[in-house]
Amino acid sequence: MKRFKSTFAALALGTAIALTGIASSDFSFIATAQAAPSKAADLRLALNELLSEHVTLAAAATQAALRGRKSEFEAAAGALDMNSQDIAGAIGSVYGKDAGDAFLPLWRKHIGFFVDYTTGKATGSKKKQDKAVKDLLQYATDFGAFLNSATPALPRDAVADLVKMHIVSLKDVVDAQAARDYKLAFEKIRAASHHMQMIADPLADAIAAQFPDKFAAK
Amino acid sequence: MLVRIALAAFISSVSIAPACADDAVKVDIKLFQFKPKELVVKPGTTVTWTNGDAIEHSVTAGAPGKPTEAFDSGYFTKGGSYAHTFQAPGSFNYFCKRHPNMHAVVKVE
Repeated sequence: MKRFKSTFAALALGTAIALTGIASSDFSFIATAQAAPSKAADLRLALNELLSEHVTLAAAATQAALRGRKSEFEAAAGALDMNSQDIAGAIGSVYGKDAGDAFLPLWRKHIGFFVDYTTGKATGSKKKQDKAVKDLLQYATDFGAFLNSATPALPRDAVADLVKMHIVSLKDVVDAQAARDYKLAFEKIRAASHHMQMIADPLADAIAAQFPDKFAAK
Repeated sequence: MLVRIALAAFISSVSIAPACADDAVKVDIKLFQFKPKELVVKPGTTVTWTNGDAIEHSVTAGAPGKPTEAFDSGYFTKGGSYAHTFQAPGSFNYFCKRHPNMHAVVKVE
């Protein structure tokens, strides 16, 4: 059901992109993406890899944190931050270094909120968990606004909805890990990882449409 | 000669001169950044910030956790603007309350 909802949201985003910013004649990027190998396809692949890796590393970090394995947590958190820097680098390569520099602290912020949520689970503090969820939901709007600013064809609220689903999907992972329900935890990790495609694909397509010269076929 | 003219034109185009008090000085807020990040103006200059992001931002004097009373726009949304006139010389750091990583400075001299 959640998978369906994610797919629906991504389709809604795709439709919104079509309705809000991109004239029908501008859909040449689709043909470009199909004519693999192309830079547009490379971009889509890179974003999918980076965002999927984000989920995997975040789940490794939360699991280590919940079990109090400090050195493992620090290593996972370090790898997760390298992934964050790579994502910011990708953003910077498209929108400019300043945009990448502005994106990195924004992206790191949501990881901090997840650390708060995980700490709340580990300590049994419902108040801390609720605060973290509230911060994460506000963050989703910020993230939507950032991408809308960078690529006006990406509607803020549609992006925010997809990010909210990302937040819920990772929260499900942490909840299952905290409950030591590992079968469920890995199912949720897979679901959260797959969901990132719902963000990466429309983002890559919108960027390719916005910068046709940059993402033309090789 | 042509080289000298070209060089002079280049130098004049890249030099950063403080804005005159009569100038309309604008700062864009875009992609969660204040642009320009550093501004030099003369006393009496009015600076206007315009929000180009689809989210609330503020222009708040001071630093995150240490705001001053020099000026504070409160939150304003996309398309909205806020203006402040800098009368006294000094260096005025400011930031966005919602997004503390956004910070910049106006130098009045």
